Amino acid sequence: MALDTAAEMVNQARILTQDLVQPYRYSDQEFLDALNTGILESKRIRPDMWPNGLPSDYLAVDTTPITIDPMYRMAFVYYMCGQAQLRDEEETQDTRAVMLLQMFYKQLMGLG
Amino acid sequence: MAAVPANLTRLMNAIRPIVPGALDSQIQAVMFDIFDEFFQFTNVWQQTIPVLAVANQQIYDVVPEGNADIVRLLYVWVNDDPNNNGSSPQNCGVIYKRPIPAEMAIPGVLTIIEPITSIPYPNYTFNAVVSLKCTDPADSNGYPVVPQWIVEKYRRDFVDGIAGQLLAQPAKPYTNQTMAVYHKRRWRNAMSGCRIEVNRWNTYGAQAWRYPQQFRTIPRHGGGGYFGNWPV
Repeated sequence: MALDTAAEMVNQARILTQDLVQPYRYSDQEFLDALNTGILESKRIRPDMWPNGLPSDYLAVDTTPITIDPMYRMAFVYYMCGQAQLRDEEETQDTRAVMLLQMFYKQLMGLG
Repeated sequence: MAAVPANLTRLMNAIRPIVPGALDSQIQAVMFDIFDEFFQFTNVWQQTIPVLAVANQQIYDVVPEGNADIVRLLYVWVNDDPNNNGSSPQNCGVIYKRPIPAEMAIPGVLTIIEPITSIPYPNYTFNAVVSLKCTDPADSNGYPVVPQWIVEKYRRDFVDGIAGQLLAQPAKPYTNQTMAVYHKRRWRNAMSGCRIEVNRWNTYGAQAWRYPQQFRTIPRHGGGGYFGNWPV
């Protein structure tokens, strides 16, 4: 999976959150919102990622191409998972959420 | 989208491992700046632009051929012998190339200091030799449009320049101030070396000595040099 489309990004996030059976715990819209928020956040910390401005928001789980550079797409999947788990009411998910969000920042700002 | 020239591909492949995590678009943006700095410092990219002389006209517009901007005027010459175009090896015509006092306060606007009052022969032209730099737009792949022989000859030096600039950027995966200083130092040395090569017309062992300018007998007008790099 090359994470080339919005559907592939959301699907990868579902695999990591083990949310593959309908009805889903996290809706498609929640993952898309997280993806769009992650792009906003990346503009703040890595403005060089968007030399021609931010892309339009992803609105559907479809074949809309992902314009994020391939080497950073996995970081955005971590961000989507982190955001989803941050909303989770289970206290045990908090550590996991923080870890996933940190992975996003670590991958964008460092070599880790 | 056109194919990327092999030497640019090689340049990118040499830079990427030095700055892991750098986006190609960012490398290309820095490449434009580095090329710009290189051309402005070294005068390595030169072009001779013929300008049809008009009696008593002092100011001429000079437009370079291709996608480039003028940095500065190097000198202006005319051919005083209409029967000699300088192509004959027996009579190479160099002696007929006469320098003309001129200046270019605004890049692209050539001012002949002493305009000629009568045209000696039809199609009498001033030949303005200018140095150029890259400009927008970039090519379809996002690379600045520059002469490929310059990329080929100074590729290793461009690696240092671009890597040095990228490594000095704050808060990036590839930020490394120590290596930035190393590459920047090599880059400065390379640019100085190139400028010397340009001044010596890229000829090994060529004359580096120049007549002391405080004793020159031909004045410079308005700071516009026209004789300093004269190739004789």
